Amino acid sequence: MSKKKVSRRDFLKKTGSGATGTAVALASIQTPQAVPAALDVDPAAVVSALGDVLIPSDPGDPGYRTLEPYNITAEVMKDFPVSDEELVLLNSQAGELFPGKNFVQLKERDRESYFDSVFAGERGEELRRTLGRIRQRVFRVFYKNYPEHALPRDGQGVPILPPGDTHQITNPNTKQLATGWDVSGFMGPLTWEEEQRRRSIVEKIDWIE
Amino acid sequence: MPETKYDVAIVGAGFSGPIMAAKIAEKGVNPRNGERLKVALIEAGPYFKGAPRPGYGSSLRRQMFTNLEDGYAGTYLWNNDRSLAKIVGGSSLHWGAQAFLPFPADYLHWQRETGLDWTEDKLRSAVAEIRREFNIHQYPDEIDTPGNQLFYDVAKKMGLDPKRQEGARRNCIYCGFCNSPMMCKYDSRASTMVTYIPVAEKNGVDIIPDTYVEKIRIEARGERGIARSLQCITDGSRYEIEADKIIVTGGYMGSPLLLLRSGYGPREWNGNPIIVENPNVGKHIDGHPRAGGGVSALFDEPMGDGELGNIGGYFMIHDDRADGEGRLLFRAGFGGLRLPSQSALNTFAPLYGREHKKFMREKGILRTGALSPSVSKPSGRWYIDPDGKLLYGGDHSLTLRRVKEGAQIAREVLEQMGAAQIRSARIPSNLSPRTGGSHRVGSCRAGVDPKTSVVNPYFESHDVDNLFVCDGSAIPRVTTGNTGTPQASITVFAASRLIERHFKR
Repeated sequence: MSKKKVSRRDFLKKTGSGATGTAVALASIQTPQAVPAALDVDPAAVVSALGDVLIPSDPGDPGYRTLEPYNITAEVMKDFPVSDEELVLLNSQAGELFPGKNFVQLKERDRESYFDSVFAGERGEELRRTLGRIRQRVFRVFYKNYPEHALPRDGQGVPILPPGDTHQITNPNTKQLATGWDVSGFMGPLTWEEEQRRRSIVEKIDWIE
Repeated sequence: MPETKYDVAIVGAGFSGPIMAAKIAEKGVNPRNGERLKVALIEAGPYFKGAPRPGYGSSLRRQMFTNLEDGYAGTYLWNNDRSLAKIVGGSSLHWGAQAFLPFPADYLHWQRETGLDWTEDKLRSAVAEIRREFNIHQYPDEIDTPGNQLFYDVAKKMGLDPKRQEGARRNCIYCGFCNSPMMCKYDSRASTMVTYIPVAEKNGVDIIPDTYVEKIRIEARGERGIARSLQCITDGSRYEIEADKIIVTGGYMGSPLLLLRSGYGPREWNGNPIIVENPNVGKHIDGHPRAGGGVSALFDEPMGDGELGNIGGYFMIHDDRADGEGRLLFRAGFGGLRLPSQSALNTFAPLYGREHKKFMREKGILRTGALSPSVSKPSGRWYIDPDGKLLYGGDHSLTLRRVKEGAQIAREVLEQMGAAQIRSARIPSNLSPRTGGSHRVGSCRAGVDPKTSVVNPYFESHDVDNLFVCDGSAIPRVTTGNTGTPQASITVFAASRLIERHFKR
């Protein structure tokens, strides 16, 4: 899902931009065989690896990877705020810290070191902004409770509520899948019982019939 | 299909249209025969009907206003713009419900800007009505946070003037979803839906939703015109609604764009031909620019318990000029809960990984707060250019100086509060040509001089007979705080003026 197309010349410029020293930059620009390998990386694989570092998963503590069977990466890549080329650059620049490897190929600890370096601005401002935009997108999708963030709707866009519902409770979160709200201890739209509990508090302090 | 002939047709059922419809239908009469008026209230968006029940909500609205961040709320907006609602009730359904009724300087600015007679005295009963109907009152002591109280004590000691915010809510259960563009599921946030729409319905107003008004048919008569009818589209079918009086309440963008599409505006407009000229349509737009300057703080201990959501906060006004220009409005909130998608991106949330998850799990957001200055009387103005783009112009030096001063004051307060970390949002070096903003007004402003305004102090178009503009676009200067309740007050005032001059036997 490219946001914008970058010309081969622009891409070459960016490949040189994270390096220190003009000589290294020139060497990168003048070595065309460095470019084709970088463009072969699957963008979804890069996003998946980034998501795993942003929201790690551990035994008993679900994270981004827990939701891969539910296509969270495809969801993250809708309205994606960076282009394929920017993503590929982010992936390939890991080779500056870990020669011969790209980000996807790194182990967890090395990925975190790369993250620290990018966020500190050591790999250039452009890369820092790219990772920042991806971070925003991943956190938004995860903590809006994907894939339990929406209710099915009919042809008129009216939410279809569970059978037997009499209070229009519009909360799609379940206990079957651990999602962003569960990780953060957020209940989501109130249950009827919670509404009643809050009404009983407010009735004592600020209620007008 | 609705009837096609009315005494009064009102375009736009947001913050102002329902007020106009309710009051004219209830109190006005046909001046020719003394009979009740046939009033149409037309809205491009949907209408979710139901008798209001503050604290509980109506069953249809409870079902449609889901409190989910699934993107569906965008269907109730024009072009996904959070400031431009497209639904009966308009932005009164998703505003923050923080009430800032007009301050003394606001009245003076209206008078000074375009010579209006909108004094505090003349608007007193309209303001009182909105205070009553919207249940405007201070958030109660019982829901205040320790963080807010600490802010109040510190600011007072520093010689500043903090006050507790007033909310416009009835029976709010603090569900925590007061987040634009989320609509209030519980009918608690004061809106025209729960206040004036029931009055409009009771008095026989025809509410016509899902209907786009393409243009007002204006008959040119020399340099002037007469408004005759509305060209509408409902379910893909085009038809005309005739009306003796046409009142435009489409909002700061909707109203001028409708006038421009109808051929009423500045000569240089690049769309359809202009048949009645007024260079002020779409110009002089005042509002609160997004100029950065917010200062956030992290404390060692939680500033609130997170038991309830959206508990309100405090505000302070700071002037360094007697005329109130460059006024700063500070909003303060400490220890309030946010939605997880907001907490995750809080400035103090760790960047990633297990530390970030810990911040989320332990509700680290409760240890944060912010004191945000905004320049509520800025020096710049927006305008709609000949191609329909909204641009920001003028000399921004006063605005930028004041927002920097505000950020400095905020930082000093937070230091005195004992914040462990303080971070300031970036302040841009320039605000032209495109800057976001909120609470925008003035695009069809009222004034005594037809050369510098679109409508007169009685909301009557200077140039087109039978045409009125009675919403925020008529207000010539932005107010000190959110424009919701001042706009509602001015609309009540407008209704009384129109009834006196046009709907009395």
